[in-house]
Formats: sequence, structure tokens, C-alpha cells
Amino acid sequence: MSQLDWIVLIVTLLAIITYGLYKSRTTHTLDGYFLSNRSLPWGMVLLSIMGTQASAITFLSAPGQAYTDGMRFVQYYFGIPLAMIVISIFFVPIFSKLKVYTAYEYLEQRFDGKTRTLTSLLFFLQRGLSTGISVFAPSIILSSLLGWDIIWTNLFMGGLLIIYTITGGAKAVAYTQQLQLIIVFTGMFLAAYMVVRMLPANVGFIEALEVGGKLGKLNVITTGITEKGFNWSDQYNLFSGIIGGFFLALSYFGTDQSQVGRYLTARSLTESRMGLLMNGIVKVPMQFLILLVGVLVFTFYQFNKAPVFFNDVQLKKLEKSVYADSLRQVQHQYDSIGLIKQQLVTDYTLARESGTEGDAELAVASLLERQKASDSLRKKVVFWLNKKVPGGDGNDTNYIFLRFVVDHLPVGLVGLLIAIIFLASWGSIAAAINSLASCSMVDFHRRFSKKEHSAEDEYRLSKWYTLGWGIFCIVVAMFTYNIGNSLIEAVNILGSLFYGVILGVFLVAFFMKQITDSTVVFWSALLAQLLVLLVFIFTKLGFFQMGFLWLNPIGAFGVVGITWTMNKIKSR
Amino acid sequence: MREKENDKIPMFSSWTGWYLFVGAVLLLLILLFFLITKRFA
Repeated sequence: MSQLDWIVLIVTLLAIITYGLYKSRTTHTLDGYFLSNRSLPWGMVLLSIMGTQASAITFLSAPGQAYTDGMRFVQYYFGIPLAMIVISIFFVPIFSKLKVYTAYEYLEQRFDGKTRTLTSLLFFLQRGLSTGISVFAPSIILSSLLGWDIIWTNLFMGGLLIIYTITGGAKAVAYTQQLQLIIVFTGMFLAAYMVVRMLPANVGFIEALEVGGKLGKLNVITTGITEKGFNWSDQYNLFSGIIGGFFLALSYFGTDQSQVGRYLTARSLTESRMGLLMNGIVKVPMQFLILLVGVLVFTFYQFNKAPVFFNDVQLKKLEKSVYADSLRQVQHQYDSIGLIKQQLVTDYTLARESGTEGDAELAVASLLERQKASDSLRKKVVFWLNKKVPGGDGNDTNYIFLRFVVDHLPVGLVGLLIAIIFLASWGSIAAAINSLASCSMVDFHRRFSKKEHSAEDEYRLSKWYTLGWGIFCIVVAMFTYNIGNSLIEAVNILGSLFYGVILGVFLVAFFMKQITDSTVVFWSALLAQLLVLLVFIFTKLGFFQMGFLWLNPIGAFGVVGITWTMNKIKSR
Repeated sequence: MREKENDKIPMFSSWTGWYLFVGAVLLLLILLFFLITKRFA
């Protein structure tokens, strides 16, 4: 990085920390520390909800996902608007009426203490680990691309935000998220603008999309239906997005304290609902635009030399292995095909410009053929890294966008985009740590401590819990190596393993009023959790194939079904 | 967090209006994405 990039990076990060500290003044009570005194307007609630969900992984992985797999990933978000409606109707009024600090507090009032403890523990397990991955994911990418030491990068990624999260609690988290999101969107917009500007003079935005579309990257809507019927192992399609995505979003926004804690900060039920519903409106288009940046980057690499693999650290591993000669051959072939593709894509755009559709179609047909050839060369490299090289990782999805940024964007903008990675991370990590601390304090310490605490004592203890969870997440980040898959997927898979069951308990609480036996609910939740883990293990062992999003409805309906059955048996 | 008596629902006369609006936006987006897929494929 150049000196200017370093200045931009440091000034941006320091500005956020200073702003967070400035906004840290809060009343010394749990209400002030964890819920901003329930005083925020819906606009702030919306930005806080968005900032909590959109981590650095979102901005790094999504463009890479579009580059490799096309736009269809956007379907994963289709369940969110529907989930926002259901949460606004059923969840928020109850949380609001009972004036709870955490979602799990309600379960003690509805069932008993052990059900509350179980769901809180599942939340700790899931959120604690995934926040650790959220620290590690951007750190490993930055350290690989820029040669930074991973330990120091982890410490900076997870450590600096602790300063304002401890001092300011939920209020500082919400205010910094507001500023972070503004900077993040500005940076992403500038990056997209620069990609289009760097394309040949006769290729504008629409032409860039046409090239991406012809090469299969604008596959926004896919059904997952093949000649053999519905493909259950297809991760992202209209049906898995709407159904699986709905259950995942319902669990995440309705029962995950990192999100519940955001809309509980609203000053009224109306402001809470507005924040959630507006999130339902803006989330899908926002994700669409982020993915579109990936398609533009893909088009850029049709006119320019593209690396055969975007993670240099992994390529170096291959270069030191017995595959060094094979890699050189593959790279040579890939570059040769790349040159032909550049010529063909130029021919295509010229033919389109002159209106000779026949020539354009011929160019596209040849281009698709070459695309297949270069894809199969890339697959060879991926195969060697996944199967043949010890410690190899054949997934470079997370590296594509940043590799492009570092290699091609002008000085200054690189620093801003690196800062964005930090800011996006901080937004979601800070909210997660704040929510983990609130559960520790409210769901455990307050209930199990025999000592009486004053409001000031509880406030002070909450700060210690915040620090403790911050350190825990950094420690998890230090140990998170070789996850072996796209990191955004790793976080989502981890969520899907537990979210369904937590949601199921809430569904029973909300909609099965006849169920009053808390022991039945408790054991049903445990059994359903076991069922989800078994299904996941069986898919991993290859007994059958199924996309991970389906784990959410299995968990939710598992709890509902087992509770209903056990209740029937008991009442006979 | 409280439901104030003077808390008016913005834009619509009831929350049902908002829920339908959010659902309609999703449908429109899916339709738009479908057309984009068709147009650029």
C-alpha cells in the first residue's frame, strides 16, 4: 500500500473510534448500556440492523460469489422481507409489551428458566463462534493480500472496536454503524464506478452487463428444477431462498439477540416496526447491487488479464509442491486463452455496436467455449489445492474483489476500501459482542448471582462482560484456520445448525398456546437439535445431498412437531 | 420501547398496508430480476 492509502486508512479508522467515543455518553444503567434507553428513531434502528447483518464478509464474499457463480446468490435474501413482516406482527409487540432486555427472557415467562438457559446457551455457542469467524475472515484476507501479520491483523480487527463498544454500549454501536455504513456504501459505489471507467471506451455499464450476462453471470433468478426434478442440493434458488431463507431470517432477526438488541433500542413499537420493515425493503436491492459489482469485476477481467487463482498465498504453496510444473503449464494455457477471450469480447462489443447480430452471436459462441476451457483450467488448480496440497484451500471467492482493488484501483481508493473492510467488520462484531454481553448479564449473571447489585455495579459488570466476549472472539479468530469453504457460507452454516431450533421454541411459545408443559418443550428442543446435527453430519458423509438452508425449517418444524407429539402422548 | 398513543403509522392507515407494501416490493423485485435474467442471458 502507498503512503496515501495508509493515511486514508488510519484517518478513517481513527475518525470512527473518536466518533464512537464521543457518542459514548450514556446513563449508567443496563437500559442505557444495552438498549440506548430505548430512545432511537427508526432510521437509526434500520442502519443498526443493516450494519449488524452486513459484515466485512458480505462485502468481500458477495462480489466474489457473483464472479464465480453469478448473481443467483441474491435469492438467498428473498426470505428477509417476509420474515420482517412476521416479526413485526408477532415478535416485536410481545418483546415490547414485556419490556425484555433479551429475547430469551420471554421464554422464562412463557415456559421456565431451563428453556431460557438452553436457548441462551445455543445463542452463545452460535454467535460466539461466528463472531470469531467474522474477526478472522477479513483478517486472513488482508494478511494474505497485503502481507500483514495475521496475529496483529486479528488484534486490530477485533481489538480496536472494543474501545468504543465497552465505553458506549449499544448507543456507541448504533451511532458508529450509521457512519460506517455511509462510508462503506460510498466506497462500494466508487469501486463500481471505477470498474466501468476502466473498461474500454465503447463499453459502458449496460454493455458490461451484457458481456457478464452472455457468460452466465446474470442468472439472478434460478428455480433449481432440473430434468430429474427439484435439486435439493442446489444452495441458491428461488424456492430455497424464499422458504429456507425465510426461516433463517425469521430465526436470525426474531431470536438472535444481536438483532433483537438492535430493534429493542427503538423509542416505540412503531419505530421498531418501521426499522424492520424498511430493512425488508432495502436489503434485497442492496445485496443485488453488491453482487453487481462482482459481475462488473468479472467483465473487467474479460478485457484484462485475470489471475488463474486469486489467492497468491495458496498459489505459492502450489509452486512449492510437485505440481509446480503443471501449474506453470496451466498458467500459460490460461493466459493464452485469456488473450483470445479479450479479442473475442472486443469483437462482440464491436459487432453489437455496428448492429451485426450474426457476428455478435458467433463471437459469444466462441467466447463461451473459451470460458469453459478457462473454467476447467481454474478447476484443476482448485482440485490440486483442495485434494493434493497439504493445508491447501481451493476457495478464492473472498479474495477476488480485494485482489482487483489492490491491483487495479487508484492510490487513495485502495486505502478507503481496506478501511471499509475494517468498518463493516466492526459494525457487526460490535453489535454481536454487545448482545453476548447483554445475555451474559441478563440471562445468567442476574439470575444466578446470589449477590445483590446496584445499577452502577451492573453497568460496571456489563463492561467486563463486553471485554470478556471481545477477547473470546479474538481467541476464536486466532484458532480459525482452514475452514475450507467460503467464509460467508461457514458463518451461515453455523447459524443454520442452531437457528432453526431456537426459532422452533419461539414458534411453540407464540403459536401453540395449549402447550404449557415446559419440560416437553425443553426436551423437544434438545431432540430437534440432535436431529439437525445428524442431518448435517449425514449430508457431510454423503448419505444424501441437501443445501444447508433447509436445516432451518428442519430445526424449527422439528421442535414444533416433537413438542406436539410429546404433548399428545403425555396428555393421554 | 412503548406504543405511544400519538404514534401515527407513517404513509398508511394501518400496519396491514405496510405489510402488503413490503410483500408487493418483494414481488416486484423478483419480477424485475426475472426480466433482467431473461434480458441479459
